[in-house]
Amino acid sequence: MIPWKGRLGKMSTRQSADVTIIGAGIQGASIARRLSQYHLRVVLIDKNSEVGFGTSKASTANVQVGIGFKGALRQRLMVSGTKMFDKLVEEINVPMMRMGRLWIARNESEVEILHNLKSVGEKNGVEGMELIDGEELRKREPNISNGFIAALHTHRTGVIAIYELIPALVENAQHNGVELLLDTEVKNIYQEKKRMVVEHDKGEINSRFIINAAGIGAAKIARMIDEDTLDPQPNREIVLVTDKRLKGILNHSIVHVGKGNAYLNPRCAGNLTLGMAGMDVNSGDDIDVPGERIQAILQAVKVVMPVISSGDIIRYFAGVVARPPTEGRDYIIEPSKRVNSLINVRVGYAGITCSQAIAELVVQILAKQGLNLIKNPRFDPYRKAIPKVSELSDEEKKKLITKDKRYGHIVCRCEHISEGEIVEAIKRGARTIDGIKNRTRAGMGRCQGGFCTPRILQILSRELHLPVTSIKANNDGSEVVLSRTKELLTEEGGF
Amino acid sequence: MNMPVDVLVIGGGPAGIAAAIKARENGVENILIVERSEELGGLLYQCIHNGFGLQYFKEDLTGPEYRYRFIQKLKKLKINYLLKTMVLDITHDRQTLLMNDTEGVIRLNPKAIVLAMGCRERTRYNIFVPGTRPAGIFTAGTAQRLINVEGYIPGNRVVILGSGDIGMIMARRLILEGAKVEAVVEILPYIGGLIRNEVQCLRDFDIPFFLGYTTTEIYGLRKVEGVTISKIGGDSSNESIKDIKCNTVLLSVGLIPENELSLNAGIKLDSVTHGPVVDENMQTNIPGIFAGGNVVHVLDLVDNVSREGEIAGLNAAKYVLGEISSPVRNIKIKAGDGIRYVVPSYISGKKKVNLYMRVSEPREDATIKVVDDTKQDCLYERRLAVTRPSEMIKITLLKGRMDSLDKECGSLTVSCVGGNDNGKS
Repeated sequence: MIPWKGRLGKMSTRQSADVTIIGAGIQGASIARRLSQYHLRVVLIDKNSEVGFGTSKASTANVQVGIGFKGALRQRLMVSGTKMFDKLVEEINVPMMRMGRLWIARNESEVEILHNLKSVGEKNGVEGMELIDGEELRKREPNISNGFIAALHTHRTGVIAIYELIPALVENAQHNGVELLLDTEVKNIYQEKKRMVVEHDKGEINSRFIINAAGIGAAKIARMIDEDTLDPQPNREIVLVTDKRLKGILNHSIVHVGKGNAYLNPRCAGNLTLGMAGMDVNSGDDIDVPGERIQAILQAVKVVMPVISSGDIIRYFAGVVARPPTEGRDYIIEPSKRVNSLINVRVGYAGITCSQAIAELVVQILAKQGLNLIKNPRFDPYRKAIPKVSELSDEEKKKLITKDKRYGHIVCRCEHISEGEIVEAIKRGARTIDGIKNRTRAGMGRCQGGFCTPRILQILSRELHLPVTSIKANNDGSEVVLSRTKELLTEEGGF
Repeated sequence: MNMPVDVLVIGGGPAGIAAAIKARENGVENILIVERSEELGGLLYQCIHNGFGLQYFKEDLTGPEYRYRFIQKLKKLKINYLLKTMVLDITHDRQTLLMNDTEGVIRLNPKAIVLAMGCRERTRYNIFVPGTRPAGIFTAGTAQRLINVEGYIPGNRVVILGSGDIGMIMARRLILEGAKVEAVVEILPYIGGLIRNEVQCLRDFDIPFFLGYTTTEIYGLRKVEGVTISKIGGDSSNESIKDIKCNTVLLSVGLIPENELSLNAGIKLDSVTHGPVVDENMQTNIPGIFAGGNVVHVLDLVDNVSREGEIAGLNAAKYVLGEISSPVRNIKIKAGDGIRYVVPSYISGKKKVNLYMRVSEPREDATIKVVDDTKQDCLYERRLAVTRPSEMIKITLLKGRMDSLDKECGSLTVSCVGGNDNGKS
């Protein structure tokens, strides 16, 4: 397998593979890694400049248990999928915590919702559920306001470091032979002599199967084969992120049940993410964050936890969840009705939780469609994380810095991220400011990259041998700086 | 590395350098400055405009010139410093953990610490600017570094949100670089920075500025495409709502003292300044930990930062030499009507002291008063022709004025009263 050589690298106009996966989000990345266990040529392509730049990155990153969302397939995948994470994070070395969730209620109709959730959970075989009263709730979460009278405690709800997870899955998949093509947009797909052809903006891939895991763009891809494919019903999800100094005020994930109420989630790194259920139904693919939404979330959060204030917010973002156009927004994971060599993977909320079970299901579908799956005996499921200097002991720090002194030079002040970590992230595929941020957390702190961005630009430029003016924040067209100084004063520059 | 350290100065900017120099001049031998960036002098390095040193040196210097003078003095006094060294933690008993690329990790146990970490810029997220998250949004100081140190222009059509000093200075700088500054947008009805910057940067270069406008949206998917601004309390007319196309947005919306280390050490912060609560010696609530400069409160001029660093350094030296001990708590200083905050928060009443303060809003012909809360005596009174929140006010309380005060649990209230608010325009 030839690693991708960047935008300027030559590509064969036509390459062949056994399976082409469209979309390197959580689904595409998980499927790619799963397929890398077999003797198969797998190509993973994405239109973005790095993996995990779509819906996956704008998520609350929960690993759910089997409740909270409708749809028989989704619930089944949640229940089996969540159990697969403990082994996964051991193998690929990504932070996850199972801090549990308290679904909380402050009146009778909300308590009714708790009972419904519990009975769904019991039907689905969810373990570790417990109904508790207000007094017990405040023992478990002392900062919750007094108005709450009951809670459903799901002990196994977790949260995963999603920004690290997707690059880690792809890294491991690449290590086991999967080829990754970035900045590659699919123009058309069609069937030719029982093979599937993907036409993209740099050439084409001829393969036996196509997995369509294009997230918000999956309907468009599916329509290239089946014109009757319906569009998704996208929801805009707005998330506020708090300063890490709030670490410890919350021990569990909290969901205030009912529409228009808040959810609060601790993250592995110590921040909280705050949001509100059912706020922007059918909002289209707009990722704008309106001011009144921020205020609405803060108000809903204050109902649950009055100690959190607007001064604690360090960032907010919007993501779009592509809910499939089905009953209960249930997932569509099946071969196209027209051509069964195209497997559509169309998911919505709880996509992270289900991802490992979805990858398993896709393998089963491929086998059923006649793909010969021979185990690769050299498959290596393990991937080592980039060292995190800030989490090491004095002795470990010394050892690492002696080996590579760049680990002793802090570049991101807020998150204490070293130059060594940034260089390692670039070695593993980061080529943009956001790619560095996702892999290392540099720029994710309270100053939001104000201090480290100029330094990271220089490091990216140095390591990738690219001019600073061509370094992107994320995708093409997002170059961080325009030109060298004085260039605007020449005849061609300026106005 | 195993060095005895008496005074550890955290931060090698103007406050830290001044503190170290003063500590040495007052008899402390073992001083160490720890600086996290590549050079001493903090952000002075990137402030290539003039206006520095008018008070301290009675000369008009650029940032690098001002910095050079202090660094020369520091080197002459052979004061030790470490660059590219991060302080990872300070405990309440002053144990300090450092890290750099040559020594690895270092644990120090200094007799006194001066906190001089300065401040950081507020981001769009701190003021809840709505919209998308494209490339091309910078804080003014980051843009200043990119242009003046790295040599890169962020964009050629620029809107500046907020009218802080760095924002106005960057507006002029960008024009001199051939970029177009489409607008400076300020939510308040008056300019946020110094008058001299309003005149020399905005008015002299005919930069359009909009006062009393809020930013309702930043838009653009990959790169900024424009901003929408709306007049506060305005209608939906074209005069009230403006759409300004641009490819770069700079934010100059205030600074926050950087006190994450202080919080770890258990230092009490003031809710208005976001800096440590300090006494007249610039000592925090933790004995032996002093603070000075922008880490305590955001000052208007670097000259004042240096002066405050000197007080912190002097008293850190006195602490090491056993001349002072616990923080002073005799008399509390309170901010009254028209005053946003006063530094320091506590004085002894036994020696001359300078109080630094900012007013809440612009006024003309207002009077600054200091009143003893117990006896309602007025200790100090001064009429000021113009007072603006951007410009700090310094008043000096002489020892003789404070003789009648209750030295056990007295309090003084500083207020700014009378006059009119025409100063807004």
